[in-house]
Amino acid sequence: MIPMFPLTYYINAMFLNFVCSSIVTLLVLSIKRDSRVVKLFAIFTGEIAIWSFFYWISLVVSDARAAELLFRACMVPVTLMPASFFHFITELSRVRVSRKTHYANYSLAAFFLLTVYTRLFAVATMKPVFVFPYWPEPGPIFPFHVAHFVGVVIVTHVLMLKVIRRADSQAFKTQIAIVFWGTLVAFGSGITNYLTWYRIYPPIPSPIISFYTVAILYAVFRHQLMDIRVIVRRSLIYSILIASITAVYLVMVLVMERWFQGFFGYRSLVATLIVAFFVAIFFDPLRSRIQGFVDHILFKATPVELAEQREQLLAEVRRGEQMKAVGTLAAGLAHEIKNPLASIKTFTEHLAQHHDDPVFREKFQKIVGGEVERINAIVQQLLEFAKPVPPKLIPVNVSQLLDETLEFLSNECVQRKVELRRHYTASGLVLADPQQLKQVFLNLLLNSLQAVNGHGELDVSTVISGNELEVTVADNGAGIDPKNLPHIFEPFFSTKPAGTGLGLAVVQGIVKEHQGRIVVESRLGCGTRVSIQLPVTT
Amino acid sequence: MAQARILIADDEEGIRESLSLILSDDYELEFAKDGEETLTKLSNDHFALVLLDIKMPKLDGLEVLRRLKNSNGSTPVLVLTAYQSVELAREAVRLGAMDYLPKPFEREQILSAVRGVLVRK
Repeated sequence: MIPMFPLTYYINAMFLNFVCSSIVTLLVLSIKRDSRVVKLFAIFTGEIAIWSFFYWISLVVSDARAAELLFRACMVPVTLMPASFFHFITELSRVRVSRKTHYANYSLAAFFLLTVYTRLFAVATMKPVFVFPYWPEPGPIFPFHVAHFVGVVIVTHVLMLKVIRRADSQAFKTQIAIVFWGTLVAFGSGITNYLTWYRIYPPIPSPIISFYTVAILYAVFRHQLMDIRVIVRRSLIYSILIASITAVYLVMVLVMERWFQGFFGYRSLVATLIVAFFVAIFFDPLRSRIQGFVDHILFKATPVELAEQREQLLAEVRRGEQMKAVGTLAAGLAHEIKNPLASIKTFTEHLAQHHDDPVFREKFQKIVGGEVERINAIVQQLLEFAKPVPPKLIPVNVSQLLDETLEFLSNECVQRKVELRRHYTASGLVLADPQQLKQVFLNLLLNSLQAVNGHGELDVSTVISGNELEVTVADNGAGIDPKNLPHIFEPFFSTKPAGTGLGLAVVQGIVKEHQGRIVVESRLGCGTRVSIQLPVTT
Repeated sequence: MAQARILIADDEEGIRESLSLILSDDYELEFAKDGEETLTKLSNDHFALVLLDIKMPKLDGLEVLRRLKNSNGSTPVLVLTAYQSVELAREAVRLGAMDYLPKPFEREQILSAVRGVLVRK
């Protein structure tokens, strides 16, 4: 006696198959559409979805002719499946296959496709078979299609086994292994439909085919199959599972209610409460078990371990950024020092030849001496930048400090014919190192004076905003090129002929040490405005 | 025989003086301190060769090369720079530089490169 499932089982199973295959296809395409292997996968799962859809519909129609047309429609993707499955797997496994092999496979599939709506493929008569009210009879071409389908499926799975055995990378091995088992189970179930065509056996229940969707999704989420990287929040998984468990428990409560009513003839609130009480007792332990199961299967670590892994990753990223910064600094330093070194080298090489030339000796003194001083200044600034001296914080009157700095620059202002305007509306004190803050102001004011370049204006102002004191230095000079603006605080970045490029980097460092912020706004041809916000001391 | 005229474009006085020491015995030298001055001198006068720095104010060396290329300038250019970057070297050559010399430089390296360019010309 052949065991049989009821027809409704097959109908529901094919519907489930259709839904699962469609979801997987759309999900994968929505995450990554530009990859070749993803497109091939989408074609393959799309074929399964279409097959499932027409198969499902063909089982519910009551008309033989409609059933026949739908059966033929569901065989259309099946004729193409061997070629697309083989193509997908060879692409996924990175196995080189000649184009001729693919062309031959696709040509054979196309041939069978062309015969699907003919008597060669399937006879038009639809007869009841097992639990199915209508099922076609195979035509003369049909066995060749079956041979093609089964043959390619076997060859492809053997290929996957070879790839798994030869793979160097464990991650790659795992990916292919998951696909292997998922598709093996799915095809193993699906191929039994051919037995039904020859009235040998009813097909193995089709929900098993949906197993491959679970396998693929697991491989995508957990093992980045097809290089698809998806960040799944643990909380989302938990929420879905908890919602599912809650739904099950609610159903249990309702079922118990109905049973009680059916048995005793009336509803009892006490009975409902007792059931709910037992549900509540078992809810929390079950929830913990499920969370542990999810951690183990999907995330392979407890929350503490995951937090540690995250910290490690962050530390690696920070180290990478630091190395990058050190690299940039080293390149900038090398460039700044190589110029003076070139001059020193050339002049010392020519010393023996020209030492009795007074003009040469004068130039030697000037150039070599100057370049040595320059190298010294660069190294000194670099030390200040790399290892800033911790500020000695005392309450400082910023307006007074600004006045002292401007006094120091008064000659410069006169020489450059710069009109200086001061607007001090704030009289607050800040906790600061007066020497370092003076260095900041000096740097900013000098930059503005150099930018103005004769008959310009320089505005210096202070204002209290909340619990911050804002110092602004604004000029109507040349302004900063927008393409340079993002780089002005980078070490060794300079647009000035004699600039080392460390001034603003040091300024930014000092401001940060004082728990402050610095903002620069500039427009080419209109001027630059630099604002520093410092916390006010009470 | 008239000496070949070479334009030395570098914003660093030390570099200009160094190159002058190396080349002044054999060539007539002219100097420019920034990119704009370099282009002005090239448009007003004829030079057999330009020794061009990359990092200069107003217009950097690559922009000078770009503008020379766009105006179909035929003066050969040797790029001298303290930046050691393969990308920069490629870009300079792509924009028409004949060669790319690092700083600090050797006397013989400069003389050989200059002679090589002038002979080819």
